[in-house]
Amino acid sequence: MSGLLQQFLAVVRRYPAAVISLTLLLVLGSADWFLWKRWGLLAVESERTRQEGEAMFLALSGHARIQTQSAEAAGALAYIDRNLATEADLAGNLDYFYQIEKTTRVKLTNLSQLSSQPAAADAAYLAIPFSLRLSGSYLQILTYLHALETGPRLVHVKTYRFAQSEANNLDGLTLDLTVEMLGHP
Amino acid sequence: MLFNNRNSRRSLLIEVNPYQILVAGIDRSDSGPVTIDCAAEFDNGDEAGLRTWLALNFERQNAWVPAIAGFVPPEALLQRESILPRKLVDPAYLADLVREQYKIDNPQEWKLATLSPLEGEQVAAEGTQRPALVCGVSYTNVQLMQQRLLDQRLLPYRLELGVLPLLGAIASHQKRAGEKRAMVVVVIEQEHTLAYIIGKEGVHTPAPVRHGFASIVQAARREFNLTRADEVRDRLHLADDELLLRASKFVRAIGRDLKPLVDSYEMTTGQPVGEIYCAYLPPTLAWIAEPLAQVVGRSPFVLDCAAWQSTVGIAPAEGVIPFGQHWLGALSLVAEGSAPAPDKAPRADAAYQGPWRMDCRISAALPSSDLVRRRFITNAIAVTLASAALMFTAWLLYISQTLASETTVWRQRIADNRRQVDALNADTQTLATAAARIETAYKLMVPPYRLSELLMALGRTRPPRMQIESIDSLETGLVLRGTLHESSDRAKITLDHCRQAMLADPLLGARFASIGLTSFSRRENADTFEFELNFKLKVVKP
Repeated sequence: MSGLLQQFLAVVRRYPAAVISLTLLLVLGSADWFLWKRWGLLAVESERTRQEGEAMFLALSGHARIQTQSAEAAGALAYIDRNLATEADLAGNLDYFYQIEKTTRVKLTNLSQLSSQPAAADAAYLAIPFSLRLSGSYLQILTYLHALETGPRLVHVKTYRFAQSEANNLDGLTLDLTVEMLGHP
Repeated sequence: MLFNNRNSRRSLLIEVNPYQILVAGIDRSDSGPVTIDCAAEFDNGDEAGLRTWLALNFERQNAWVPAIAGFVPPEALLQRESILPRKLVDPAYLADLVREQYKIDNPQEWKLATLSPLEGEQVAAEGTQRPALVCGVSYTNVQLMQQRLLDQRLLPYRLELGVLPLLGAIASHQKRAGEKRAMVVVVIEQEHTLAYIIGKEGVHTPAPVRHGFASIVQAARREFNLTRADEVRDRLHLADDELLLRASKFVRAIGRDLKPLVDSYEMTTGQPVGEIYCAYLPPTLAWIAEPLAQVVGRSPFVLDCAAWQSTVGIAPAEGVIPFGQHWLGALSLVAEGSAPAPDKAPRADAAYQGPWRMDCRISAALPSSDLVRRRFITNAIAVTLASAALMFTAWLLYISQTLASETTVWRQRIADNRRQVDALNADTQTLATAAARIETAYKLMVPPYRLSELLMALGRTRPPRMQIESIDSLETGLVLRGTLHESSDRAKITLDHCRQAMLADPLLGARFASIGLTSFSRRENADTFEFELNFKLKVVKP
């Protein structure tokens, strides 16, 4: 053992620079291995953080647009909610149709609120059905329909039958309608 | 080559003779004298003293110290012999000669050479019979000497049979001095004494004298009545008057045998012998030379060493103690010879390295001559690798630090904008909720078309002679019934045009895929046709 040690010491004395360099090489090689592994982890972490940051800034750049859209959506929603019908408010609901009748001079010969389909527990809205029969000229009925379809309350025409009046009046027309009005659930 | 300074090389001059080890630090430049900057003498066998001296004087050279070495092996061959030079081309010739003449059983184990006895040059393998100096030394002795040098960190660049340069130096000196008489060089070894006579015909090698230094010791032991060897040794090294008075008795045995050899030379060659030089005797034994010369009937050789050094290109540095005569053998190793240098430089591992030179090294048993370069390359590679690893480590540290900094910066920016992000998320959530409710309302209330717009479009596209009697809604569209007051051929054309016009209408065409005539009949007793058009809605893809 001491012989080997002496041989080693002799080599160290003969090649001091080489021995120091090789020792340094071993130490640095080991350190490099760990640093290399650490560098790989750091690179992944840095890339992930960078992408996260860039995505954040990209999203923040559209914040104003989101706010505008959100405000517009809130306004639209408020308009819808403000004009929702209430199924239990039968008089109010029918009055809505009669009010249009007044302005268009059409004759509402039949108007009734039908039973609605039961809505789901978490449903946001309810479609309240109505049955209407209108009599009047082409222009009057067209005006009534236009007012109904573009009025504040959201109305959906489910079925219709458009025919000449039974009375032999060439200008008389009859329109049978079933509509659904958006209401509170 | 870049790092190999050829202009000035510091190396060691070393001679290992039967009595001493003589060492000197020399600095040899390509041009100019050999400068000796330090020197020392050690008893033969004082390896520790030599090691200490080397450590002090060559401390910078912690690797091999290049050395020019000469040695006097106990078994050496240096004999003047008549040879046939042309037979030297046959390697076996010299070996057979040595085996037969000098009873050397295994000449292949010896390093052999032939030199001219007059000029000391290598004998060319041509020509007729003539005298030559047959030189040889056993590889065993060379191996031992090499190992002895290597043990002292000395790498022999030359390892010479020491007596040859000595004979060459004396021959040159005699020639320069114009000496007509021959000179005897005596090497007193332990059990025998060798004599070399340098005359006008070159070196002669008489038979060895059977008495050596042991005979002097024996005589001194008797004369001084001493018993222990160290006492005798100490007494012989103390050259007082009592010793000098009895000195002729001590050397009588050697001188008695040497004198006939010298006389025989004189009678044979007709050249008188003038002086005797006792080689290798240390200063404490230098007293032997004079009584020995007296016994032989000649005078001792006295050399002005300082003057001789200047003639052979050796210059001691300041502070170096002047060399005595016993340094002649050592200094002759680096002395410039009188003979011109050969035209073609000999190979480094060749035995013959010039006049009176015989390099005995066994190159294979020595570390490579490129050792310095190899060590430099080894160190350079190792240092380069370490430097590369260091740079790689630094780079890894730098990029790791950079990545960590970037990550920290991004995290800080994310943290700084956390409040805005929360607000954005809240707004987005609000928008999504509102959009979902609007979407629900839209799905509930959206019609495939507005009935009022449909009626207006039908009114626009209705032909003048067409009367619409009813419009009924269907799941798939609507059914339009009416009458047409035209002849059948006209009615058909009118209906086709009417359908095409309706499909071309922006409102109707956008909502209905087709308009088909499903009924067409004439009323009784009238040129009026009843028809039925079926409007099919376009299928809305989800």
